[in-house]
Amino acid sequence: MILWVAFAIAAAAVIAAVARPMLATRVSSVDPQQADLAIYRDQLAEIDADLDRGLINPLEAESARVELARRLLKTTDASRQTGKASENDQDAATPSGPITPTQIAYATAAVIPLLTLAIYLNVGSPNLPGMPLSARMQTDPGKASVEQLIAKVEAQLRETPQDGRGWDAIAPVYLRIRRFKDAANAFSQAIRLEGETPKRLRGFAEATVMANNGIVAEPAKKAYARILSLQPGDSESRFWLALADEQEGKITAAGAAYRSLLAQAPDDAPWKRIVESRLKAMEGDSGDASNKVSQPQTEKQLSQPKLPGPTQQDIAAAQKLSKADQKAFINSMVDRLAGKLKDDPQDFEGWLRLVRAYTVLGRKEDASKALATARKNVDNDTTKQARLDALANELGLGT
Amino acid sequence: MITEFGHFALILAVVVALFQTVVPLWGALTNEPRLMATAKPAAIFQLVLLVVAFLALTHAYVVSDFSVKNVASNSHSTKPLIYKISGVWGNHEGSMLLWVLILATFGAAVAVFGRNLPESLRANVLSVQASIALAFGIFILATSNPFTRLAAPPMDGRGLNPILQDPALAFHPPFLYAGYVGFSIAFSFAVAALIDGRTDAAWARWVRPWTLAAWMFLTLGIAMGSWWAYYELGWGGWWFWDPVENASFMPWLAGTALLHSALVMEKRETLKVWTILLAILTFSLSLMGTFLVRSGVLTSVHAFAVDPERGVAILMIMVLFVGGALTLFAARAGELRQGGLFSPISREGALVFNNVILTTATATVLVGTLYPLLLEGLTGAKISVGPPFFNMTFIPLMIPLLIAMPFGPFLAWKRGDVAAVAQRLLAAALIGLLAMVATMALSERGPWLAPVMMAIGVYVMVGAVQELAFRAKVGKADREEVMRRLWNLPRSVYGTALAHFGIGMMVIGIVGTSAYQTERVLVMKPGDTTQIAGYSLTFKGVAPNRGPNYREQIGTIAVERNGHPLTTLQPSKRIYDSPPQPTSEAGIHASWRGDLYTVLGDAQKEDGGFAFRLYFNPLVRFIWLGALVMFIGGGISLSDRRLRVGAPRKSRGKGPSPAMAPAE
Repeated sequence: MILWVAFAIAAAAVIAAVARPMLATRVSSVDPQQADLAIYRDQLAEIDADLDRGLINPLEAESARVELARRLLKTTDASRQTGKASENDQDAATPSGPITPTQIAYATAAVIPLLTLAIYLNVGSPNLPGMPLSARMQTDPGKASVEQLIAKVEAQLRETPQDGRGWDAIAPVYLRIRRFKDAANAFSQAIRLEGETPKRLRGFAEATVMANNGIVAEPAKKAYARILSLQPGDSESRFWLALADEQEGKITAAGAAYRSLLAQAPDDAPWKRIVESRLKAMEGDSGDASNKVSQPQTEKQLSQPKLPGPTQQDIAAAQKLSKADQKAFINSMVDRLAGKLKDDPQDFEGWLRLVRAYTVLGRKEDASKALATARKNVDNDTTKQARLDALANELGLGT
Repeated sequence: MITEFGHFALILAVVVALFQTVVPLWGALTNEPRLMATAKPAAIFQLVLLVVAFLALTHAYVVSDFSVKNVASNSHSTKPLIYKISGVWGNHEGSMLLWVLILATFGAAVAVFGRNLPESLRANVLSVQASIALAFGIFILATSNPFTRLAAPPMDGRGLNPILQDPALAFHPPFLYAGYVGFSIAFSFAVAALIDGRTDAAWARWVRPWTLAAWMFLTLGIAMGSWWAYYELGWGGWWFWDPVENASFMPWLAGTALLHSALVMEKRETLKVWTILLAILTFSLSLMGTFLVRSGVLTSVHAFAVDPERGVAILMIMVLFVGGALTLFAARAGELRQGGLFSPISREGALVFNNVILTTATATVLVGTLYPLLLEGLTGAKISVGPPFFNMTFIPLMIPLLIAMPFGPFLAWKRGDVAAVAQRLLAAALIGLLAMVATMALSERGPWLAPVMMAIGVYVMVGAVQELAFRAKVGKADREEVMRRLWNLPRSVYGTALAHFGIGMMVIGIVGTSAYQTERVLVMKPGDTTQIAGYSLTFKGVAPNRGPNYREQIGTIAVERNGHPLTTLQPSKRIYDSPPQPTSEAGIHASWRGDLYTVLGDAQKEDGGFAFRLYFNPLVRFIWLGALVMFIGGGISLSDRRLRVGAPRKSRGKGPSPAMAPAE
């Protein structure tokens, strides 16, 4: 309501200001000729002043006056020529033409507010209150959204970056909403300020692995090693370290680690199946170079959401199936990819994935065929050729 | 609520602009003083409303109201306050609002200060001015409304481009716009004269001060932009002949020509038609600059508005105003009275010479800027017209202009004596030659043209001082008389001398830094020492630091000269939080001799060393100091409110002495 009153006042002020001269009964106007004469008179006075100050000498002053006189004459000449017209103009100063200024004033008073309002109602948002950030931060925590709460904590942490408990509180939240880099940073701040605990180290390591697309890199490895020194025998840490070994190509070490994990595993351990499948894949064709680099499929696909691959539902479904069914399921997925590539042979990343998938499944002939087709499709692109060569070397497919 | 009131005020201002376009013009055409008189309150209220709108938007930025789309897209809650404020015009929508605000400011200034303007002239000028505001107002409301709201605001904004978060850049756009838009007044006066079919004496008096004000702001705005590019972009360069730079340089060149022709017009009431044409062209170039920068035709730091639809809209505005004004010019120019006559060798003649060269230079820059665009549009071929083109065309044009420049103020109005002036300038030329010899002695390398240009720069500076000395009769009168004369010299004479002196300084700075820059790129490990241009630099190490909205790596370099510790430089690399973008902050040690300029590069993986780029830019300060001196000169000249008449000297025989000063 106040807003509309303010609008009305603003519009009224404008109308009053512009309408006033139009409603006036008498307007003092400056005749153009008179204005010119006034200026020349001022200039003449200025010449005298300059002469007084000694800026110009009498001779110069004289020639300047002559110059002015010449201009003055020209003006009066011109006015005499247009004299007739200007006399008419004088008469016209009283109301003239079909529309009087008074009528224009009334029209203005109507058009200005209506036009403004018409435009404003189209583009404005009169019902939307202002929402300064500080006011939004003070809303009831019970009603606030997660996003709002995070923003609040973040703002606080910017003020007090040494508040370890703040970092401790926000770190798992980051992890849950998949802001892995922020999570890793928050965990490491909490560790720095509040000390190492297995829980914080685990969070940090997990966040780092997820941020690195499933690769267990050096910082994560160190963190898991620390957990093991604090909680000897922690099976989760051992699994990730084994996976790190596998990713680095230390097959024997990885195999031994998996096996000892399995030996000590309780029957209901949820990760048991994963370890078994890793081990199986490694043993299935041990000595084959292709195993060196293969990552656990689920891990890899989970962490690379950008590539068009199996959806999360696919993976969840795959995990529920029996082993034979799993294999069939994976095969069907790979065939789906192959079908897609037939339609769109320019999808280079797709070809790379297909070749890799065939190799992992042990379908070496198909892999070689896919590789050859991929080569044909990229014949001119040297960087892509080089990537294919690298892949072939890596998987031991020859050329 | 404040935001919505600002939005309403903006719309009301556009409606008032519509009123101001139509009613006063109608009044002028029907000679109805009551309608003409509405121009003044309309212009004032248009300004008041736009100030309200602008303050409302600024308020939204300051309190981080992300329910305003413009704020959410361009601000961030952690930004320092000054960049929250400068963020208002650091984006397309807000900068267009600033554009019309400045337009309205100039309009209101004419309304308030234009008391002695004839009624119809004032009405016409304000109508034309309002029509520009109307066109841009509709443009803002239709395509770039800064007050668009979001019902579901994000928790934080997307932030301002980090390289724009800089003090020089915070104030570069307002100055630049004040320059661009200031020329609109000259344009409005020109069109009003064409509508009326005549030019009053007041008309001649008004164009020069407005042009001068616009020119001052544009000079400073361009210099700020160049200074910013120098220390922020980390290349050690200060001008790149980038199309966006050219877009602001062309109105400056044309505006400088306009300033000089307006001078002739004010004092001698001649060159009126030419001045009208220049006024139209100058503002057209300003509009074209806006179009080029805003349409996305050019991509650069400035192109935060890459939107073809907006480009087309601005192009249409440009075609409407330029085309309309030139058509009017073609139809009406013949009816305008021509002023007094003058001989080719005279102050007027010198100013015409200045105009010819400056307009040619403008055309050169225009071709160099637009040709690649046209070629790409027509054939798809991408070519780049870089510094070589401009160096080969622009510099040869400037040399005769610079040589002729000191002659101008010495020449008398109407007819002058070039031989006598040359005699007087002999001393300046000799000092210039001395500077050339000194330059050649000090530098073992560099292009042959550099010492010559150095001589010209010094000659221009000395010439400017000499003019003052001559007018004060230094060496001819006793000390008291000289002091009295110096004190009594019109301020505009000081203004001219300062502006010309500033040009000389700039020439020296440009030549020094372009021809004699030293550059070194190297890797240093902490503890390493290197030499450049007589400085000894020791790299102490790199330390991390946390700013309000960025993290940075600060390198520390101890600088020694002749074995004495001089200063410590801290070049740094920053990564901003939002958006996460790296910038580099150069560490600069400035002195009259030149700038020592250090840039921290990437860390080297193998050995813990860091890449560094080191420059020594001789005399580079003079470029911006020159611009500042020009700005001050303009201000002093502007403060001279006398009504001036350029008096021709009586024929030579009758004069008491050939050394008599021309009347000012």
